[in-house]
This record gives sequence, structure tokens and C-alpha cells, in this order.
Amino acid sequence: MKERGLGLVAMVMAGFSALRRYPGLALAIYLVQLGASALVGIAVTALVGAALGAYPILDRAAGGDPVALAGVIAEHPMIVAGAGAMVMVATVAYGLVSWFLYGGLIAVYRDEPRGRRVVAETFGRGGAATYLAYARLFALSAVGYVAVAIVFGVSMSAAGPRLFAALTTGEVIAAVLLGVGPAAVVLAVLWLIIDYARIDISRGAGVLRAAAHAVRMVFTSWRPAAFALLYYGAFAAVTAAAWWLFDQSVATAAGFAAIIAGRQIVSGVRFCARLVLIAGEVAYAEEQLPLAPAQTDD
Amino acid sequence: MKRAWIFFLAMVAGCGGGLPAPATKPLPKVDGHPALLTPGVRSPRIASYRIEASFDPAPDKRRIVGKLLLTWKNAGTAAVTKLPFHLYMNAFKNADTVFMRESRGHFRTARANDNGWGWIKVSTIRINGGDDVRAEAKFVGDEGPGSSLPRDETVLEVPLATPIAGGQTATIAMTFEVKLPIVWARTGMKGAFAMAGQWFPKIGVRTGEPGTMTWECAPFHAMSEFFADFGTYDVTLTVPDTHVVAATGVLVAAEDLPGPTRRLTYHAEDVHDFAWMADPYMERIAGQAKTALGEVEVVVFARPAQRAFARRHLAAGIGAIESYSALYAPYPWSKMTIIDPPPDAMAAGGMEYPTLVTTAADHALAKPGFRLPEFVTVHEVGHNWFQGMLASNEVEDAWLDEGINTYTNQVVMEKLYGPGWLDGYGLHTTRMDLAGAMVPDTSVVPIATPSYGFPTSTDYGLLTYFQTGRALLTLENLVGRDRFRKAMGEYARAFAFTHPRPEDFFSSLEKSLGQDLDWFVKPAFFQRGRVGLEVRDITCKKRKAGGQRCDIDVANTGTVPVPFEVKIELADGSTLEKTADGKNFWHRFSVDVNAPVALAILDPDHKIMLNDNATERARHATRRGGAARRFGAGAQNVAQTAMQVLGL
Repeated sequence: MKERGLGLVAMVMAGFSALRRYPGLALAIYLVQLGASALVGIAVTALVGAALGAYPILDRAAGGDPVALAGVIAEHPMIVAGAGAMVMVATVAYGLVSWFLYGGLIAVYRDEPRGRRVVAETFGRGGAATYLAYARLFALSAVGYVAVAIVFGVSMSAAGPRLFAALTTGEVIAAVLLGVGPAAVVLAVLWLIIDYARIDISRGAGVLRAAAHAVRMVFTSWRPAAFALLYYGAFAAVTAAAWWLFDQSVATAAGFAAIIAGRQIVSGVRFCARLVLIAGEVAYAEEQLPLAPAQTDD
Repeated sequence: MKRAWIFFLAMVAGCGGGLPAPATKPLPKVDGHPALLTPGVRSPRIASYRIEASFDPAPDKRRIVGKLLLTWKNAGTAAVTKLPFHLYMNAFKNADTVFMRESRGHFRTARANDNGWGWIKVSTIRINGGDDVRAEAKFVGDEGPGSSLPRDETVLEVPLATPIAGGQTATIAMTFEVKLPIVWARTGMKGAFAMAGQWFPKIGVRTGEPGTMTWECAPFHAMSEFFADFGTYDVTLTVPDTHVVAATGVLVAAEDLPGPTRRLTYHAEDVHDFAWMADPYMERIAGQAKTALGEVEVVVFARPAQRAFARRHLAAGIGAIESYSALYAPYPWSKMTIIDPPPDAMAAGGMEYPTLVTTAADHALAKPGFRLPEFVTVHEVGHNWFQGMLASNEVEDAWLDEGINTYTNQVVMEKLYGPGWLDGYGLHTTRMDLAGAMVPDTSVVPIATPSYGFPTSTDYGLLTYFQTGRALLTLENLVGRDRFRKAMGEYARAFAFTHPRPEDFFSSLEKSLGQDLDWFVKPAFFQRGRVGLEVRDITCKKRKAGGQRCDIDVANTGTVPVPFEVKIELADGSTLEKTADGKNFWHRFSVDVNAPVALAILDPDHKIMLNDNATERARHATRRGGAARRFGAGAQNVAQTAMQVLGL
């Protein structure tokens, strides 16, 4: 039986096409993300500078001396906890903002408006219209996150002794795969369902119907999973390459400037890949059977 | 798709590999040399044992059935009216023992297994060939009548109808049966691997001056190790012929018996314990360590999967014997056996017995260069000096062997592998430096605390091992390395084959060094001794006559009054060096200089290892932003990555 909907290549093409069509929108959203994370950077700089800026051990820790870093962490756990809390709060806050950004972006990619003003209006209207529904979707997805946690707990309890007793790198990898792999797969599937449910909500479906339809879309064809896999592969490859390329240069002042620029290139590439994923998913969902006219079920 | 999943899961599940059925092993050759490298009696030989035991390794049995004949000498002048025996294996009898209550079922990284309890039962006791007095023997402990706690059964006291007079020798015959636990707290079985430590009834130790001696026979506490008298051991083990066996001492006889068993007889002299291992899959590699007394045979037993680690343990074991022999006293025995337990039986690892140790830390992450496996072997082999020869009471004075051994580990590991022997994953350091950085001392008791008196196992480990090691390294740096090591060697030789106490150690050091050490020893070992070096303030003012007057306020926020050096760097790049005598815990250095002070570093050569204030030990005159910006940039990157993973 021939599968309905776009093929994998067409999804990729549709993704890149949307990214090319709305570069300003992409840049604007990226700047929101950059701004939020930059605030974290500034706050952590101020915190660490005020508490530890007078002590040379901080220079050694920043220069890659792990013993100095361990000393700073052990002797000043509250500074580390404070910095961690800042990262966490900013990430959660951005996550809440992201619901609006998702709604707006999907609306633009679906409606394909022309002109800066119309794009902005479509984006704003789409984000506002779906925000609360996305919040309800998040609440519904808690069931999925609980499942992820259970799978993680079970697989880690099985993998823990293997990891502890691993004598070779292969055994370490096998144990990590056993411990993390199942939960990672369940999490990826959950996120995929959420992606398609968001698109359906944007098309007017209620949360439950959208979620059910998304489950059907995800499990009746290999293409959504394969397309998402491409994205995760790209994300991991770019992150790993950046780690390998930039990790050594942190110790010098010139390296510091290079690493800031390098990290933004990496983040930009990953961000574009994410937009390609969303646009491709929108294109794929649009090709599926139309949803029944019911507007709400929740 | 489904098939791919099944294949993946099968691959992951099958990675552990299976072991073949145990096969009959060739009868081992006896060791062709005496137990000691050179003849002579080294120790008082108070308690000597002849033991015959048979071992049934069936998973549902895990059983040792044996009989022993103990020859015990009353070394005091007063008569003895009772004989207490350690029955250590009863610590694993149920969840109510002293050991289990104190450990709450956790020991190091292992957890007690509800299906894996172990125990020891003594069936008969005959003193000097008399009648069985087992019925008169009773378990003793803190749980008196009326206590809601069940009686601990790790100390069995035998009353004597006829006291044993001072200087007299008695024989005690016992029959006993042991069920080994699932491997836990150094002993037991895991799969086919069996490690038998503290497995037989073991008499306590009489301590004190002749005439006022008392028994030391504490219940088995979770954080304590052991204490016993020296003697000779002649132990015959009947084991399956499929098993490779290693034991304390030397193998003096081996014979196959009718049926699939064999009898192996071991002999050891001037030791205070006897342990053995049996496993059907172990291989043996051997080498020689050269000492002033002759060549010591060093043997490592490990399974084939751990062959690469076994070679590392062998090299470390040889290096440890040669180094400790040169530092303190030559290793007197002819053989050293190192057991490398399988990874799933690591709860048996990292333990010392005379002439036999178990090592640990075999792991994929312990690549060559990252020498944790070597460290464990050096530490355990080193225990053949600090507690094997200098048999201090590990219950009351655990630091006296663990801490001195930890100090020596630092010396020996650096000698064998260089100062950056923990090399890998961005580290080029020593374990003590890393632990010192990661675990600041927040404990509330002094080093000299009985092992059962520590609030937590973390406190026990930190103080007994690391803090003692750091204190001794600090003392070494303060009095001079060569003088201190010579003094340590004199202590080791003077107290070998005795039961030294802390006062013996410190008086020996003072005598050798020719100086009073109370100023350091009292706060560092007997109080909550710590050092916290801190540059509190740097202020500079221009002088009318030109140049600057700078005040550098330094403090020691700890309790040990150590002298320390101060390095002052000026803005023009020049440096000054000062010394604080340490008698006051606060000091102000006022200097007239041409350029303002830019940086002050206390103890620049890191001699005061006891210092646990790594951060404030050095201070810039003004705050600098570079490092903070790097941390900020790192936080920005982490936050942005998290946002990209969890948001849009």
C-alpha cells in the first residue's frame, strides 16, 4: 500500500524552502533565544566575578585545571548552585516563551504569508491562539514524561551494575546504550508526537484529538521518525564537532573570542536545523488526511 | 524493524559474555621455599592455628566446615579466666547485627543482599583436650538484658574452669561451620568466585602492661577492621579440583583426593590472619621483587578478561614491595599474593591480609596512565607493613595503619610513576591532591577517633586516610623530607611485629627527630585539627617619599599553628618572599615597595598539605574579570543548548 504524504526528501526540501522564505523571522526568534541565554551569561559573570574574581584559583579553573575547578566547586557550592539555578530558571522561562514562538512559527509556515507586516501579524496571532492549548498539551504530555522516567529507572537499574563492572570501552558503550537508550527513544517519540500535535492544534484541533492524530501520524509511517532522526543526527554531529574543535582553545584570550563566535555558529546551525524540522513536519502534516471539522474536544 | 530491535537488545544483553563450565585444574605445584625469606622467629607468636576446612561452593551451600586447634600463650603475668573469640562472619547473619545497624546495609559501593546472609556456628570447644564447653560459652556485647536489640553474635566468650596462668600456653580445639555471604564487606561469594576473609573463630588480643592486661575483642563494627596476635598458621583446605586456590603463606602440600576434590596445605609464619580465595576461572601470573633479604615471589590471580589489569597489578605489587622495603624494613615473607576479584565481586576487593591482598579498580575508564588500579595494589600491599608487620589496633587506632599507609602511598606512587600519576581525562595529579580539592574537611571529630566513633563512613575515610596522610606530609615538609623519612623508617623497624599505639608512633618520631612535636601533633591528630590559610586583605597607599606602603593581612582560620611562606608579587613583576612563623593565627606584613602589590600567595610550594582553603590561599589585590567572563560564557552556552533541546 502506498503511503500517503510527503517523502523524506520532500520534507527536507520543504524545510529548507521555509527557512529561506522567512530568514528575518528565523533571525528574530534566534535573537530572543540568544538574548535570554546572554542574560544568563551576564548574571553568572557578575556572580562569579563578585564572589571569586580576586582569587587566582578561578583563573586556573577557567584555564582548564580540573583540580582547581574541583576545589572551587567544593569550597563554593552555593556559587555553583546559584549559577545552575540561573541556567535552569532561564531555560524554563524560555520554554514557556517557546510555546508562543512555536504557535507563531507553525502559523507562518502553514499560511505562508507575504510581507513583513502580514508575517508579523500571522506569527503573533498564531502564537496567541495556540498558547493555552500548548500549555494543556504540555500537561497531557506529563503522562509521557512519567513513562520516560519509568523506562529510564528500569533500564538504568539494569545497566548500572554493567557500567560499574565494565572492563572495555565496548562494555561501557553497551551499558550506556542499555541504560539511556530506551528512555531516549521513548523521549524522542514523545517529542515527535508533541511536534505533530502542535501542528494539529495550530490547524484548529483540540488537544486530545490533536494528540491522538499525532500518535497515528507518528506510528503509521516511518517518515516522521526518520526525518526527526536526521535532525537529531545533525544536532549531535554539530555539537560533537564543535566540542572537538573549540574545547582546546578556551585557555587563551584569543581562544575565548573564537569560542564565543564558534559557539554561536554552532547554535545557529542547530537552530536552523530545528526550523527545517518544524517546517518539514508542517509540510508533512498538511499532506495528511484533513482533520474532522470539530474544533474542540477538551 | 521488530527484528532489528530484537537484535539490538540481544547484543546489549549479551555483552557480559558467559563463562564455560568449570573444568578440572592441574594439581598446583607446592612452593619450593619457606614462608620466610630468612630463618628466624620475628614475632611473639602468641596465637598459632592449625585449621582443617572443606569448602562446598554450590550456590545454595556456600559452606565451609572446619576444625581448628589454637595454641595460645598468656603473655601477661596475671591468670586469664575467659577467652573471647571473634566470630566475624556473624556480622552478616541478619539486619540486626552491630555491623548491619551501623552500616545501614551499605558498605563502600555494595549493598547487603537479603538472599545472601552469612554466618558462623561453633559446635564444640575443648580447652587443653578437656570436655566440650560450648554450652558455657556466650555471646557478649553492648546489648544487655532488657535491650530491645537482639544480641550481636560476633564475640563469643568462653569462661575457663581452670584459669590460664601468666606465661602458660593452652590449646583450644573448635569445630565450626561457616556460610559465606553473597560477597559483601570484603568477604563471601559472587557466582563462582569465593573470598574467605575473617572466616574462622579468632581469639582476641591481650593488651596493656603485664599484670594489668585486658582483652581487646570488639564486636565487628561497620567501619572497623581487625586486630589480632601474631602466630603461625597451618591450614589445610579441601576444595573442588575445578578451583584455583590462593591463600596466605606458602603452599606446602597438595594432593588429589578420591572424587572431584583435592587437599591443599598452606603454612605461614609471623602473621596475624589467614585468608584464601577459590575460583574456577582465575589465571596466575608471577614476578619477583628484590629486597635486601632476597627475592619475593609476587603472584597475581585474575580472570582472563582482566589479564591486562593483572599485569598492571603485578608491576605495582613488585614496585610497592621494593619501595616499602627500602623505606622501612625488608618484606620478610617469601611470597605475596594479589587477588584481582571479578568486577561483579569488587566488594571483596581492596582488602589486606598478611602476604595476601585483594585489589580493585579494574574498569574501562582506568586506562593505562590513570593509575587507580595500581594505587589500590600499592595501598593494599603497603598494608603488609602497616598492619601486617606493625599490627596496630585497627578498631581503636585505624589511622595508625590506614593513614600512615596513605602517606606512604603518596611517596611510593610518586617514586614509581612520577608526580602526575593520575594521568588522564584532563588530570595530571595525585589522588590525594584531587581528593583534597574535592572533599573539604567538614568533619566534627579528630583523626584519633576509634573507628566506631566516626559519625559517617565519609568522616572515617576522610580523616583516617586522607587527613592523616596530609598531616604527615605537612610534618614531612616542615621538618625536612630526608629527616622525616629516616624517622619513619626507625619507627617501622623499632615496632615491627608488635602492636604499636599512637604514643609509640609519636614518641618514636620525636626521639628520631630530636624535637618536640606536641605543637603539631596535639591539634592535628587529637583535636579537630585543620589549617585554613587565607589572604584576607591587600591594601596599598602611595608614600610621600615615593613608592608604596602595602599591608597584606593573612590568617590561618584553622587550629594547627603552622609556619608558612608568603610570596608577594608586585605590579612591576618583581617578587618578595616572607615567612609567617604561624604562632599567631593572624599576621600583617607591611612592606615599602616601588610598585603596588598585585598578588599574594600563601604557602606557594604547597607544603602545608593540611590546608583546606584552596581558594583564599592566594589573592589578587583587585578583582579580575577574565576568568569570570569565561565561566559566564560557558553558562550562556549551556543555557542556550538547554533552550534548544527543551524549547524552540
